[in-house]
Amino acid sequence: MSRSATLSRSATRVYRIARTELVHRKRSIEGSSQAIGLVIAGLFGSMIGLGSIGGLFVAGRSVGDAAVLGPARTVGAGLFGMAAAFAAVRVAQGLGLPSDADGLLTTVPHREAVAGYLLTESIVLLGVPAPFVILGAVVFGIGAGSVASVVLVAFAALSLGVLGVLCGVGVGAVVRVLVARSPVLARFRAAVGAVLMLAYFWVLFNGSAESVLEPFLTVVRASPVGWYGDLGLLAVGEGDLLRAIGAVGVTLVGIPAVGKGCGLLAGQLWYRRSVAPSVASGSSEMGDVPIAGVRISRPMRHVIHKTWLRARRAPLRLMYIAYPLFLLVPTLEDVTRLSVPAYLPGVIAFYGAWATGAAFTLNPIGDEEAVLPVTLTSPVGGRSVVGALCLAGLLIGLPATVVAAVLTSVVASPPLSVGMLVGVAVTAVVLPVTATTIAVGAGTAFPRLEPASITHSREAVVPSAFAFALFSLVFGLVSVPALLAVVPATHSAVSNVVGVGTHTLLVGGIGLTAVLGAVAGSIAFSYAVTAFDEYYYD
Amino acid sequence: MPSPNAIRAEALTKRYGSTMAVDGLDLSIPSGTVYGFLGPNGAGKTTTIRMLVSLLRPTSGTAAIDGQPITDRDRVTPRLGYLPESPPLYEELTGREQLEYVAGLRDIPDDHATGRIDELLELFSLASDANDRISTYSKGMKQKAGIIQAIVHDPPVVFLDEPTSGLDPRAARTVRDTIADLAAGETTVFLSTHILPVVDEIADTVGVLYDGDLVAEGPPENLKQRAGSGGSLEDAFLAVTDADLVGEP
Repeated sequence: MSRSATLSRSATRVYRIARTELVHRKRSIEGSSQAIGLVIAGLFGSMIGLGSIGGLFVAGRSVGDAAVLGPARTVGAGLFGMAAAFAAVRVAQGLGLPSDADGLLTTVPHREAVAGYLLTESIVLLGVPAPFVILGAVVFGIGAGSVASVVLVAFAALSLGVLGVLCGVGVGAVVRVLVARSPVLARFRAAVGAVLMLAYFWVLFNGSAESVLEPFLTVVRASPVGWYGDLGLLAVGEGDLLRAIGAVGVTLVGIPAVGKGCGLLAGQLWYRRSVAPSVASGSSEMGDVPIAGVRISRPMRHVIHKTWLRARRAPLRLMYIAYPLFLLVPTLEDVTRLSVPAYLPGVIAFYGAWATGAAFTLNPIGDEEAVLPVTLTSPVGGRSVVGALCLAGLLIGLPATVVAAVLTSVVASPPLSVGMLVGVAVTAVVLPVTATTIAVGAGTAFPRLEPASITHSREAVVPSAFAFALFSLVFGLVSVPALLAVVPATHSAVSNVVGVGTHTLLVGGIGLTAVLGAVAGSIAFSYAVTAFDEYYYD
Repeated sequence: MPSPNAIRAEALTKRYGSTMAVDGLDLSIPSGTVYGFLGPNGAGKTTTIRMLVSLLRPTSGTAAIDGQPITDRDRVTPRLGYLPESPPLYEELTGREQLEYVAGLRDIPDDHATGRIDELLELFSLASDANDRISTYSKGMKQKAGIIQAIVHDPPVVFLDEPTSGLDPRAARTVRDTIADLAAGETTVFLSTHILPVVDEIADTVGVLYDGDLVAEGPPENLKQRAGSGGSLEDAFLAVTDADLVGEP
């Protein structure tokens, strides 16, 4: 067979791999919330694209009147950086490059499999922006009055996009290989991911994105990536010829070389066994858990112990309880200036209780996962299982909530009165108890048995959206009187309206929440016990 | 004193909408015997087992395990052990933690549970891997852990759904020996499997379910005779589940 025929067949197989991957990915998100998110992101991106096209026309018109080479290099660096960042994050999360490609690798050569995945990823990330890029190049050429610029700008921008995607895939693959090889990283990757995400939101909300990105852009602009600015402007006499030729060289040699590097990294993922935590981390000894002097039953102790062990070893399953924390990121700015807002203790008492309820009690049936048949066919009753799950949350969540709420109360500014501080502490005790009992009812009313995607590459059984909504609504309503009483601003407003003193309002608000919580919690708990006892696979 | 029939079912029926999954099943399985439950894919075997272990409500009919009606889960569950088709295990726990957890659910005193678990881990050659996480186990190791947790409390009736699936020959032999030992100790074993030599070797009675109906029942030798002289259990199975002979709906 001739070399050209071999190449043609190889290209056909790469195209088929990419086409099948694209169909697979499209069908996997059809009808999901992810698809809606992508449509919204696409619309948002289209608006930016249209704005950029206008900007390119203005830039074309100003060629000769203003210096455009520097901005062109910066825009090129930004384009490269965005493509690389998106690709790196996707691949690091397990998308774009599968961890296991045995089926494909026993069908086609390694290089074709890699090329297929790289082509797929390039289409996924550049498919939507590409028409805007080409239209922008045309508009720039019209503005500058240069037909050659249309070709050069389009070539430069698309080359930068592809180079960015491939470099990003490489960076993401390096992260994956490190996690696959390092037992330490494999064990703490959830914590590392959480820290990185927190840092991301910190930068986003803190307004310091520019100061973080500027050094990166400076480096990229000075690298061969910056040469593409010269290439795009060569036809209008702005770019440096040698650098422009260098950019073409990067496209012709650099892109295949980076692709080759991605192939080597993919081989590290596909042909070598990854490390994973294989043994019990921490003690698996179970001690007696006396609650208020009462020794709880053996089955309950085992349920509590099992719940904690699973949470400790698979913390990503509980990642959802951290989501509301991002709402507190703006507050962190105050905290870093050693100023704790007076509303924070109340907010922490509420959030701590919500998280306590959501952690272990918002999907009691679904959380059993594959072991549910064993639990149901064991003599342990619903009261023991449901009660143990509530205790599993409360034994950790209640003290943590009380400590966090009291500590922030002590250092709050303006300082809280002693009465208010005591009110916060009592609220931090009442709310978690209320939350767990309400949550267990909501969770059994709307159980979820099927796994859901918790990161792009991992699935776990998490509570259903209805359970979240019902729990948050009921718990939120029950908490309102106490929160109105312990948050200084609302406390003053309510006090003025109803004309009662501080202590009366505190006792009344917290007392009302306690009564409402006791009623709602009792009903929810009883419902959960009955639902668990009478659960059938019908 | 064990009841004469460890498993009894009368006109046990399960219907999903217009689909009849199990149609009026009658069973009488004496204590201390091994009942081989055969049938093609989709015949209703797992549905039957799930009804008998009180995980699924029958549409009609009655059944009892060790004398207790399956509708009373509190009284039935202490008397049974169950291994579903996919071993029910927490991937995050180690094998030993999983078994201690299940023993704890069954309120077995810790020191007694430890001894029993050690004994079974040793029997199934899983002792050296007991402190590894189940997520690292092979299919066969998970199957072994699933079997151990089904029998850890010495129940009078054990339901095993494909217990030898994924096991190497030595482990499969251990499972067969264990089932035989259980039956010798008055435990009743309800064994659903597609591996006919296993059933042929250890079952006292074989029942063949086809499209929700019990189309044949009896000792393996009797079934083999239906397939003609020199016939195997496989021949008998193929004969009684032949759509043309049974009458495909």
